[in-house]
Amino acid sequence: MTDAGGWGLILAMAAITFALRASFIVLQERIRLPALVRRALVYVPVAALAAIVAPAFVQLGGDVGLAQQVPRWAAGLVGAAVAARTGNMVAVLIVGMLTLWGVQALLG
Amino acid sequence: MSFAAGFREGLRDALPVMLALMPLGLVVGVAAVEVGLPIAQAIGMSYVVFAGIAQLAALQLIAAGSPAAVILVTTLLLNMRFVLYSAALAEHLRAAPAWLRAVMAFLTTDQSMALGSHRYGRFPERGAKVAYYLGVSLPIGLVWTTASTLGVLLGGGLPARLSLDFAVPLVFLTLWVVAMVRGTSPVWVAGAVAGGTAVVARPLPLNLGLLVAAFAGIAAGLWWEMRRGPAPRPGGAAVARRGDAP
Repeated sequence: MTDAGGWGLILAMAAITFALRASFIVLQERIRLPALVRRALVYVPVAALAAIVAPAFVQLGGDVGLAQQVPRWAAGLVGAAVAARTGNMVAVLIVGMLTLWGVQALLG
Repeated sequence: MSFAAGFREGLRDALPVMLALMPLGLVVGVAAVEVGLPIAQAIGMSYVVFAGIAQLAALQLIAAGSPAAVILVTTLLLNMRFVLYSAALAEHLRAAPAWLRAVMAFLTTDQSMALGSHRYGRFPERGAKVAYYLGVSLPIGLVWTTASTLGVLLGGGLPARLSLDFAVPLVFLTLWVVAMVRGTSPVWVAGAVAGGTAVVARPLPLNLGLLVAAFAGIAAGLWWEMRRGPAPRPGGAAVARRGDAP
């Protein structure tokens, strides 16, 4: 890719991304939302989070071996338990990473 | 609540997220160098696009020699969720002037949205919400751009066997678990259906699985809510959940 082409691509990505983010925050009531959509918004965060999270931990078939998956499952389960009990992200990160490294080491 | 107090509260809530974002920022920076972007573009991308998941996807596509059109459609699809976030945040950020709303829109991320939806029930005044949102999103933006710049400068020097990029799914996992634990039954349905769909739909091209799963979860949550009876609260409190009250 040429230098100018690279910048063109990056700026186009930036423009698309900003337009999506700016839609309602900048234009406010100039865009109208149907009542159903407003009710649907309650479920956006949890649904988007689940859609991002689940495939990172559970990968059916394909190219990823068990030796790579098992440490992630273990860290995910332990991390989820800590998250449910404490809701503390730093605790989840520390416990989760330690679990990942521990199980990786055990599986050699 | 004063602007400074709201900002400080946001900053405090953002601290763990900032910590967690550093590895992803580093990873994106390293990836940009490995794909062969010139240093200025590799650094600049994080400042102007400012969307980690879309950036990582674009870098993979660049490495695979994909045409620009495919990369841009992928960006659109992966970032479509920002329209939903924007809609959910719009009412809370209405007090700010247009230029500041543009700045806050630019700073919208999965993390700032999650923290916002987590906490907004606690701020009755609009000005405090704006202060809180800036306190959350500005430091997150700063950490993101700094970490990815560091990643570009370090290049491939980080040991891959530390799996530091695993911090990213752990962050999303925490936010999801907390949302589920605090949610009502339609929220559980939405979260479960979206997660299950995402796993099954992962092989879909262009990362469409993420969008399909998110919409499936939202539809399932709505369906459960209607089945169960009256809506919990009218749209105005769209992102304020049970348990947020002071």
